[in-house]
Amino acid sequence: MPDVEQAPDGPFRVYRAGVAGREIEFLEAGVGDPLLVLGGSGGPALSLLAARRRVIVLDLAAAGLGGATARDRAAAACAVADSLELGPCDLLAAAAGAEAALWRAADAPGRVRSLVLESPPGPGPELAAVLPGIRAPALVLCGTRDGAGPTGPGVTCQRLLPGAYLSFVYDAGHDIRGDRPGAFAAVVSDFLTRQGRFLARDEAEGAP
Amino acid sequence: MKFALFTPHAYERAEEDWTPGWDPSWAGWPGPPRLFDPERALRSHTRMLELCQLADETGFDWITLAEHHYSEHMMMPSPMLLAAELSQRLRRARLAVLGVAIPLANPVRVAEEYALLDLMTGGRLAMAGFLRGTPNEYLTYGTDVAHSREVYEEGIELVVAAWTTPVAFGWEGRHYQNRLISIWPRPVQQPHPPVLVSGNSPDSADFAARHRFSIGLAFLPPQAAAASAAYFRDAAAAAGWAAAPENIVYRTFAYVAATDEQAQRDCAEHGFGALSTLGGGLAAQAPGASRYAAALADVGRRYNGAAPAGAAAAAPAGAAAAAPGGAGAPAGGAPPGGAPPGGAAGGVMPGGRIRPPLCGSPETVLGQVRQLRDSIGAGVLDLILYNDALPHELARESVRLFGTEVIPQARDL
Repeated sequence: MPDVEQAPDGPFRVYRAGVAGREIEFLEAGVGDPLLVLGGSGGPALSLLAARRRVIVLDLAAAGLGGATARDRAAAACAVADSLELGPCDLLAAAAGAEAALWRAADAPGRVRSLVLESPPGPGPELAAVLPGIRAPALVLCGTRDGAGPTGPGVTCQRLLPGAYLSFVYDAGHDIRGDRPGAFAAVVSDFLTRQGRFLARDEAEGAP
Repeated sequence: MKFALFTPHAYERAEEDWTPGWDPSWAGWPGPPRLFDPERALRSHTRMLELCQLADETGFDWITLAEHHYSEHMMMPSPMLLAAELSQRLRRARLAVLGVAIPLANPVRVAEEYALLDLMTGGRLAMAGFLRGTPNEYLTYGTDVAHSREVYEEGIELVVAAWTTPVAFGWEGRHYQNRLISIWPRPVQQPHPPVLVSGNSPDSADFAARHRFSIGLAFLPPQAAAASAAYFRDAAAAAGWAAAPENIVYRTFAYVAATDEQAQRDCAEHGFGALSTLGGGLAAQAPGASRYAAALADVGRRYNGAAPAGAAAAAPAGAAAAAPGGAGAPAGGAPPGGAPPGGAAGGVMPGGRIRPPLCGSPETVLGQVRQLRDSIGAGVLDLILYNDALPHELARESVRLFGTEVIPQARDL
């Protein structure tokens, strides 16, 4: 692992790696199956997740890998994952980052084990056309103070993605992991651990 | 204006059950099970159905029901079950459930049952109501009263989400977690039947205004109800919508007889017209009933978010606080007396005389209805025209007179 610095909060540390001839920065904490987080920084919710798995937080724009389109950013994320030798991994993305995550799942299905989409925007026509082909299980989270509701983007994603589970996080706005960090970490962790079985209560496995 | 007959489903009271001089510091709850007589219960049920059918025939717009537990005054553990029975009997009147004590229930089940009831009524369910419940209800299933306002608000939002979300979804709540919600049937009325919540307190009125729900004002004296209604209209305006009269339901006691004198005499004689007079009854005969006082005081105090035991010497859960029938009324919301005679006030008058806010001949009551309409601006009057204090024959005549002689005159108010 390259250079290490202490991150400002929680268990996350700053790492640097060379990707496509340039040095990029990312945060990492925890051990276990890798979860690649597109966008954001550490924080209580991701710290909770890092207690149960390996969490890599990558801000593509800050890393200079922004790209012109969501599809470009997806390719950049792919390159980072490859250079870190993550293999097939789980992908968590919020807001506009969700589009990049979906493109990555569409373009490189073998590399995405499952998707967690936090407050995703409604997909544009080009992305909407490819969603029915994505087979990866996906957890779509919407705050009841934000994109919930019968015509919200969460419903659209649930309808278009064959493997999607929609969940409303009560009393959360757009920043679900900031507003309800415990609830966010609990449902995401349960989904990542148990995939589709996360709908079935199992106290022995620590489900809700 | 619309008129509703509130349905207490009270266990018929025999003369010997009535205990004058009841102790107002004692709640009269729970009713003692061993005094249950199946024959009297069957007769009570038959008479309730008879009054509902009479109201249906004489022009009442709605029949209303509300959840209450462990009480001979309100045999209504499941308003949904009685609503189902009534849905097959009423010809014109619509049903309004005002409502379900949501913190005691599974909200997904409530969403399912309301949708089913809407189907069974041909999409004519007038109101789907939600209560936080009176404090005593929290002893029914051992539900913690702490955070009950939060639980109530989240539960209602979950019900609405279950009705309206067109795909299967999960709910990660503060108080409810459900990973898979996908109800069938969905409501016939789309997106969902009108929703009513309590509007007695500013908190509940703010919640209603935020979600564009209707409010029920229960057992508040007219002046206080007018203030609550005005507060709600302001809150609705601040939330970007105009609350109409039909968004406000006012529940109050009413009694009609041939003459004013007869009406006042009947009410005084039978103690009909105030919630607090229900404190007596069967439970008064149960030795050791005061053993429940400590728990009732505890839930009463914590319901209002008050200081822990010991810090609050005043405000025990008195008769009105915990009395069944106080649907959605905040603890301590006993209608005070002392209102001017002749006006639409009522309650316990000076000298201990009981009189409902609406009381008198059809003509007098029509005037009182006008007065309430002007002061409160409620589009629906939910009338308690009978309970276990009142003999059946008098109740029947009062319902008949209200339906045939008051409602036709008041319809266009």
